[in-house]
Amino acid sequence: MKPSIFLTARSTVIALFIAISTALLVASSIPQRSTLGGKTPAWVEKLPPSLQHGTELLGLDYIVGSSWFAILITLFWISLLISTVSQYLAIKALASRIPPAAIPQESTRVDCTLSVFAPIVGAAGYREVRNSNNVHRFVKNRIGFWGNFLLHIGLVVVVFFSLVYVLTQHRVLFRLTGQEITRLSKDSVQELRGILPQQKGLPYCVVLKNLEPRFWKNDKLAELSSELYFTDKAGGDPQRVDIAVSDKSHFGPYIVYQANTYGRVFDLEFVSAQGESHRERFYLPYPPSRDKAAYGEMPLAVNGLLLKGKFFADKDRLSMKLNDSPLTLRLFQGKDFLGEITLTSGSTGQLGSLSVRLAQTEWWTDILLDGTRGTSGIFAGFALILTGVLSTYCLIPREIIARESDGGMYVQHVARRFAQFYREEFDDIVRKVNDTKRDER
Amino acid sequence: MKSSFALVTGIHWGAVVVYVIATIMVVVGQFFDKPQMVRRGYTVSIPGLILHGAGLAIWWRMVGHGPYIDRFEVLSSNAWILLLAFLLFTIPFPRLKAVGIVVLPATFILVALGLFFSPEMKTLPPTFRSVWLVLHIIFYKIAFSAIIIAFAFSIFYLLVRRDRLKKLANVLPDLSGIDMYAYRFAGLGFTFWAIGMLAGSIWAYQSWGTFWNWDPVQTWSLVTWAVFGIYLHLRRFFFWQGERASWLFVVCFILTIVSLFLTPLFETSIHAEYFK
Repeated sequence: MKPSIFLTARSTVIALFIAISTALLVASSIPQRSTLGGKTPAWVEKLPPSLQHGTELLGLDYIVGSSWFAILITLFWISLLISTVSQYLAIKALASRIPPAAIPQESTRVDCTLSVFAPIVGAAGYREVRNSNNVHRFVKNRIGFWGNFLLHIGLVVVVFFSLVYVLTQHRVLFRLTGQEITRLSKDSVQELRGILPQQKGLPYCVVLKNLEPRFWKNDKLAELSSELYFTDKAGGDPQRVDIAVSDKSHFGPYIVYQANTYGRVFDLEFVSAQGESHRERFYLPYPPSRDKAAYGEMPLAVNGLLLKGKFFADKDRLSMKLNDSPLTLRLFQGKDFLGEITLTSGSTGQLGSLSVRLAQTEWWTDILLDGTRGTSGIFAGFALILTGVLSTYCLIPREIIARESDGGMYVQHVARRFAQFYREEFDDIVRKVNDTKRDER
Repeated sequence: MKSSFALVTGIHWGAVVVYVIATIMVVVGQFFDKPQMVRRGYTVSIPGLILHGAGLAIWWRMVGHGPYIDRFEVLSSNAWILLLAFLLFTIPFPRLKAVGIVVLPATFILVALGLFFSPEMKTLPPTFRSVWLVLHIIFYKIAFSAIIIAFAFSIFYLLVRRDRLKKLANVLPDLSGIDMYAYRFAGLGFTFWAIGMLAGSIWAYQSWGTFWNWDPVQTWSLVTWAVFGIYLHLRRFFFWQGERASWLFVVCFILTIVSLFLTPLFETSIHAEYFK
């Protein structure tokens, strides 16, 4: 069997379709790395090492990014491509065909010449496309013939660029703290990569120079923008990149997105009763309104202690603008409350048995880098599909075949779909032809 | 600000009154076979549409964004686009005028319902700032209009088949014609729904860097679109028509209502404050 026949055989297409659907179903039911920001899912970590290796080798923890899934998509794409070429040839033949000269029974006789008939059908939107041996073919909405082809070519484009997307997928999510140089490495970011090995490396480092939230009068977030400085390689010059929510920017091969998660980070220095000191970084979201605090909690590295904290945007609670608001901390061990302290930047206090100092506070926000290719192609493919559907559906090609015979014409109306729907249109044309003839008399 | 509120609600109530008058004229005219009254009814609806449009424009200027969020503005703009699309569709398809007895009441009910929900000025989250959002919403509203028209024809089919609506026999197409109109407008609704989803997906990609995230509103929209697809597929390839196709479309319509107006109420979603 020829490969092209095998790939377009109904059984092959159904088998591919079932295989791809099953893979997608499994991928959506079992936690995948793609939904965990690139982290290994818990179910894989629980497996014995040999099974873990097998799972990763088969790509079961990231099905849509696995080699075998890419092969399935490629086969499906080739099958679609071949059938699209067949579709093109079939439609080309259909659009330019010359009807047979024999007069079919469903024809209607009109006693007029072509010179009378052609302007009337022309006024109704029918254009003569072919004629041969006294047979004239008038077509309205010729573009409608190509609807199915556009739909097919759209599918080809979507599947091709989906493949590109899967192969080149590279999404990097990381959290930045204001004024701090963040070195971007595998350990400091959540990363999702496609199966193509030759992908660009991460930028060397990035600094969040400034974060500016703006609010509506009702305290809802109106805009969130960041001023970032990316450095491509060690010793390189920092390059400024301004982004905002709904206003992405570019750095190298990446599109840089501003996430709408942000808040204040509090650097705390703890000293235990035994004199041991350690630092903790406490991230809190920004308060939802001027009279509501932002809350958060964090386990401490010592003795199973739990730290809870809150702060307001404005110390007087009159505005959403950050205004010297203190941080209130509470310490718990299990359900036991151990102590509470309110700190301003640089101040120290006692929290249970711990001495704590608020060293500094800064902004934090999340940033997404997307180096994946193919998304625009996917959208363009969908646009083609929809153009195809619209032209198939709204621009239904109608034909009037006129056969000259015995000094008159036999006219036949052909609509590829909804023939009954367009019957009135044809009847109207015939009526106009007859009226013209009557006027001539 | 209070005076502007009063102006907008006043204009909207004015439009409701005009729509009610137009509805009465169209319904009476169609049931008592008075074509001139029907024509006048449709003519009366046009100033209502202009008044209503002016109300929406003032509201748009007041709140500083399109009718995307608040229940009042969503329902009011849906009603406006429904009536506008319907009147435009009647130009190439005059037989469509029979559906006025469903579209006109639906229009004033939607506006009145919006007014009963108490108009509120809502602010837009920063993610709602994209031309793709505007396209996303416009296409959904056009899809909704086409779906209401298809629903009207499906209901007509079920009633006419049971020997009801005899008084509309003159203005309605025959049974197979009614069925075909339902089919065609369902297809139009399906297509615009798909374009709306695509525009939404591009908007999401531009705002969040991801084009789909299985948000409840998105998921239900996809389910509704898929059921519309099944309806069209059954009609085209399995030759479903008439009674069972009409009943299936009723199911599609219920899903549309759930998807557009109820799912945003169930859970929080990427669609944030939409219709909350």
